[in-house]
Amino acid sequence: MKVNLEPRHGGVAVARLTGRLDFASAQTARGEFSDAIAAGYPKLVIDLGKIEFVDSAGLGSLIGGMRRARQAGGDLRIANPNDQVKTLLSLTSLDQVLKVHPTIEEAVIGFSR
Amino acid sequence: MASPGKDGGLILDLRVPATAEGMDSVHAALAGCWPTLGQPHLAESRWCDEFNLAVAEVAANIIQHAHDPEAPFVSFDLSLTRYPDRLRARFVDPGVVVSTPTDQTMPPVDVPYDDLEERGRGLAIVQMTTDRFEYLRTAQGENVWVIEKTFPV
Repeated sequence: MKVNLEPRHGGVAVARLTGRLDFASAQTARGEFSDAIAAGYPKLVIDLGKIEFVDSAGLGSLIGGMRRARQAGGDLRIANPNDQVKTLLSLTSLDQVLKVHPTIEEAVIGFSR
Repeated sequence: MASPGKDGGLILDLRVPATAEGMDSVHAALAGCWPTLGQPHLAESRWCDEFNLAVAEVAANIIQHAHDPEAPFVSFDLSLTRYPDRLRARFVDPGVVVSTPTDQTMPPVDVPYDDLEERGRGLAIVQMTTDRFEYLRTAQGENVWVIEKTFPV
């Protein structure tokens, strides 16, 4: 999995993830999310448009990122999830907790509301 | 990779490295299996996503135990068998005994965000997405995991 961080204004950053977000990459993702928050970007948009697959450990890294972002006064929003990710969110009921948006820009705009 | 018989039968028999790279071969093998099932409507369906997820969660669980100092191992076996009404995945690994893997509950989400669990969903997902999920420890010291999912009508 690769992460490309794109800083925006007002503490917002878009993290574009590529590959698989699973047990093998979850720790890397956690570190990337924490680093972004520590660098002053607690409003994280996680672009999953190029993510092929997410497992429960990958989902755990998103929950961890959300917790740390909220503790820092921000939040973590998901953009562009594929059907597999939507299925995973629905099975775990985490679609009730994590904010999911169809596009990056809608997720970014969500932070200014 | 095994070839399907007239009625399906064994469609995959794979020795998987118990590493992160081993998961690449699991995903690739699953993707290669769908065309052999004779169920074209399943490709990219929720059924397919759920079966992939269940297989990946069991495989991840096995791989994460591969470095346990009590019983380290380098590979495990994965086979897929097609029955007329269902698909079965069977895993065999020589790792440590796993405690009650088929009796897991999904962590709740109606809690303050600071109390949300980051772990502990994998095997609960397997339970939810399959019609049969069994684990047994053999006398030879192997873990055998079986999951089955019935084809949609």
